[in-house]
Amino acid sequence: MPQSSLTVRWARGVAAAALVSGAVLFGTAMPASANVNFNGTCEASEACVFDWDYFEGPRWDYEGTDTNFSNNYYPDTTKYGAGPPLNDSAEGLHNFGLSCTAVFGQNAGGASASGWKVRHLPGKGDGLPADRENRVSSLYWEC
Amino acid sequence: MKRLVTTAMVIGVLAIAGCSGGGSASPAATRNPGGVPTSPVSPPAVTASPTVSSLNNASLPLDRYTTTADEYAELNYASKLMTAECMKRFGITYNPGKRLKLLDYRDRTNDLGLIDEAHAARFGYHMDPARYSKHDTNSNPGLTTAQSYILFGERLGKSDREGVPEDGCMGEGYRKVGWSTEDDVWLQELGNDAKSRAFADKRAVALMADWSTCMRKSGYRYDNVDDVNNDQRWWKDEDAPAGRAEKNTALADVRCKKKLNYLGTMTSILVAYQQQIVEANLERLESVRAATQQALKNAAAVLGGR
Repeated sequence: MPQSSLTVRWARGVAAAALVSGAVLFGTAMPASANVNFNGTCEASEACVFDWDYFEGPRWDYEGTDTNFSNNYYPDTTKYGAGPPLNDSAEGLHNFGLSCTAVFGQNAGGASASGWKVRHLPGKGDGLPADRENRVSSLYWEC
Repeated sequence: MKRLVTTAMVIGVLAIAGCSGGGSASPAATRNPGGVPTSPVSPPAVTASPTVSSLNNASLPLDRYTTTADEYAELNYASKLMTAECMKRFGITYNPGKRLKLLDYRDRTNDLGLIDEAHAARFGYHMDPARYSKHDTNSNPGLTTAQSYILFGERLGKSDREGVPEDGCMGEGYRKVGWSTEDDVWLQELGNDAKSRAFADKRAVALMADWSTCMRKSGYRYDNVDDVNNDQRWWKDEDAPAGRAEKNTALADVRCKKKLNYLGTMTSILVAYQQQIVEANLERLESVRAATQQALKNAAAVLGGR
């Protein structure tokens, strides 16, 4: 795993502190596994989740796998300001991975995959159908 | 020919699902999600619920149209070789890497909810880590931002190079093989729509109530299979392996499902809704299937035995 355990601990520490202090209002991000460049800008090797619409609004740019988006927030950026919660706010998805498919969905990360999922190829993505907007709860890579 | 195909599919469904009765779908089930052009539906007939040992062994109506994992891997790999050719034109070496393994794609055992007892005992509600990757496999380390623009196109920004294809060299790769990735997503959404309708069907809702009662008798209080999967106790640290409480709950869950023939009933309902969706979209589905078959031939030519 390219991320250091120090980084993971840092991310968890920040998240825990944010929760305790109410700093979640400021959009602290807490992915399950920290990534090296969680900066709100989509880049190669990342999967992107869009808050407002496909390629619109805050971007959750993530290199890792996160199978439960609870308590995750879009990165706080100057452009879009404080990041809203990810788990109830997503309308578009895109895979900027270089090789693997990115599997987004609802409950798709758990074994009980009774929710929906969509597999996007590298370089591909889409807006979410109306009844699946704001219901994205997981991302994993399938290689 | 079309009539023959339709008749054959209907017979197949009736053989699996029975041929009379009918519940009513909830309002959510009759909603038409964006991008999935299906007709408004009345609930399809389902009475008999066969015993289904695994969803992997069941033949679903949309299977005729979706690519198998092997086909997907071939189309993907051929596209990557075409992407590499495109990148070469810009003087960039792009390593296509290896074929995708797609372990998760290949196995739909738990696609209607946790069914596999061995999995429940070992992983609870967590995925088997062997089935997915934590990260994208980067076979092209050190790709610069400018090179990324050429690979992905304007989605990542503007390139100062002339002649970058639409959606970059990756887009060109898919087009050269003739693989419509939009159709691939459309097919997935049809499957999602069928599943969503199946779970909203009143027969599924009744089944879920029976499951909830069974779980309560085992000492667990959940309204439906999503609630147990999403119990926040399991996900405080999702990287941590499943604990004893999660595994015990998962085992009780799987055993209740077995007792109620959950998989057989849900498969029957799913088959019926998939069939309804196939009939409503038959023309486009057949066209997509023909295009995919052609793309597979193109891919085979690109791969040339590789």
